[in-house]
Amino acid sequence: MITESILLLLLFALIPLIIILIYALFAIWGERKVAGFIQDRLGPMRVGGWHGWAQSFADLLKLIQKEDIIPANADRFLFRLAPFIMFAASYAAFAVLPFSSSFIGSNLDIGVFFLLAITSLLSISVIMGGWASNNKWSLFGAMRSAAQMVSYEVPTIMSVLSVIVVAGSLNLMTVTEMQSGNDTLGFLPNWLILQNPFLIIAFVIFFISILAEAHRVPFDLPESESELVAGFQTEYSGMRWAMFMLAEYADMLLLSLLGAVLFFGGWNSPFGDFMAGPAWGFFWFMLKGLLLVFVMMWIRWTLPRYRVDQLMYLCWSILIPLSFLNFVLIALWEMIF
Amino acid sequence: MRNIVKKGWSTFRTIFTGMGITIRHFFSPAVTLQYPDEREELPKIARSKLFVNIDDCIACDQCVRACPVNCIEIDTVKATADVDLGRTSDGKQKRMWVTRFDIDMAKCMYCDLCTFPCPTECIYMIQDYEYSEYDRNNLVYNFSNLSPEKIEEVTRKAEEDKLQKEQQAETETVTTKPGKTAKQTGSSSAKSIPGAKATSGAKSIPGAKPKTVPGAKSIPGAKPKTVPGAKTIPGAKPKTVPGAKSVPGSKPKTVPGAKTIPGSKLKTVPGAKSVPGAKTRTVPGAKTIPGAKPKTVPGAKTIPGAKPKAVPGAKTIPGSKPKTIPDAKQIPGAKAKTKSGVKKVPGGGKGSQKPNSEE
Repeated sequence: MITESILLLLLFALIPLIIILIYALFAIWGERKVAGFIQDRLGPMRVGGWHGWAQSFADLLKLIQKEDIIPANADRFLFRLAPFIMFAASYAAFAVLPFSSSFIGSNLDIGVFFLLAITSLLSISVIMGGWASNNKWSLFGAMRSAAQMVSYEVPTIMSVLSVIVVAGSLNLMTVTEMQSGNDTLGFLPNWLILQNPFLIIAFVIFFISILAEAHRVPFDLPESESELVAGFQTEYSGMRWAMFMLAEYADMLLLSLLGAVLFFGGWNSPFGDFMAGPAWGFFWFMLKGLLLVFVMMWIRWTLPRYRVDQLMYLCWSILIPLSFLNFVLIALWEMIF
Repeated sequence: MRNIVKKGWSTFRTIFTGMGITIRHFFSPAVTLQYPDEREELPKIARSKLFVNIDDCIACDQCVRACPVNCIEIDTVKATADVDLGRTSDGKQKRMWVTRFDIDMAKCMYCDLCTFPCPTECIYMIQDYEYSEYDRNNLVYNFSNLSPEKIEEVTRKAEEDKLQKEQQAETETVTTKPGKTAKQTGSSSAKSIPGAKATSGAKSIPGAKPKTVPGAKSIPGAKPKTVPGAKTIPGAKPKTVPGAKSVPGSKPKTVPGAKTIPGSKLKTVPGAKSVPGAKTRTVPGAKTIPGAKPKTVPGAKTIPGAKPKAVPGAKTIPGSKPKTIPDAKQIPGAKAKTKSGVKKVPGGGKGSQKPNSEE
């Protein structure tokens, strides 16, 4: 009985993993395609026939065959540990995301809190990798990453908190459920972003902050391949590097899905009862998340990178005061209406 | 505060402007050409690779001389009289075996200058631009379609033919020698005498007329030439001394002799000159040595351009022939001497030596 339940639990836990793996493979291919299209190119075209869809599989095969190199003076234990901690942190956070009305890894009452707490481990793993590599570029990247993630966690949390004030629950399933129905202005879905004008500002702050949290352009200073040669990943090769990459894309998806849950109604269909149901719920949920991922890619090929001081200025002088102000305004709005 | 709002507004405005541009490009078609799968149609005049239609080549050497980087090399062997090489597609008679027609595309600079002089339009640029090689030597394209055996056979035949002519010429020179020696002795003293030589030479020259008319092919004609050539040798010396001065250029050499002798000779001589200016030069060489050189001369005549080069170079070309005949070798050197020596020292000295030796 116990073994059976453990097996069931493992199977259950594998579902988000499979989603992440499939998503990561196609997101990497998709990102290259997006980059290509935006630059009037075609991107990968040769592997697998139609538009090179199997490019990531070929890359994965290559990475598996690569030599696992650890620098001579590296801290071997931390060096090996860092990618796993990073992926574990991203993966664990998926537990509290309601993929569909009938599927959620762990229906925690403190879902959002757990998610934000566990993703903080990402910065630990980045610092671990950067420090253990014994490479100045890696350490630069790691220190930048630490500063950036600690800073941007504040506006992220404040904007999430604004949503929680409106929703009244930390349980993401509850937050999603209360957004079902199409009552806003008579036909629009009851998504939180449409219910409160200040939540639009909150979403903008949230989106900017998750760009920084996920190390995406224009906040990709920890990796900035042009100045730091990939930052904390410089000394990693083969599958360890692939783990970092996987965790990064998983983090991107995780934060996008969180945004979809908090602002765009999670697994709720935009058409009320039409195309609703558990399977459709999964479809809508992923669609919303992937759209946000696409916007991230779109921004990546549009904007240049911030300077370190600009990054800090943006966070501490603009986003944090604005998010606090916004939080107060939303609370007032909720009290009045 | 106002400033911050203004700044924030411009930030978002510019971000959305930029994203608008990128999304427009996202939906605009890619400019990529999937190269190995698709290829762009090259314009008709594209210069990418030289090609030679060897069947149309008359070995005129025009392309070799036009090439600024010397990437074309042609070797030829004159076809013997019994062989008909056929005609080119535009009706020109082919007279030379093209034993080598190499184009080094590693040297080629794609200037296209070689294609325009070609009288038969047999060298031209083709559309093939995918001919990279791992070894530079593979970029040398051999357009000659003769097998090594064939080349060997052809050159042997040409040499035999040449040998035959030389022998004939020698026999003739032997018969005429007495006169020559007399003339030469006279020539050294009195240059006017050469006329007598020329007369005999000129008479034999009638054979030269065939050259002008049909070219080198007429071997029979060539032999007569060789004979007179031998005679003219003495004449050449006189030219250098007074004749050259009196009459302009190298041509005068032959001319004086012609003048002294019947008008018929005159005609033949000018005719020869008119064909290629180089003939006059080659002729002196022919004069110095019997038959063998004359042969080379006619061959040179078929290729107009070659003669100028051939003057000094003519020896090199015939050089193969001289090898076969030891005497011929000595002769080339003599020619060079005569040429260089003509102006400074009377060529007659050398010429006189030969006659003396003959005597």
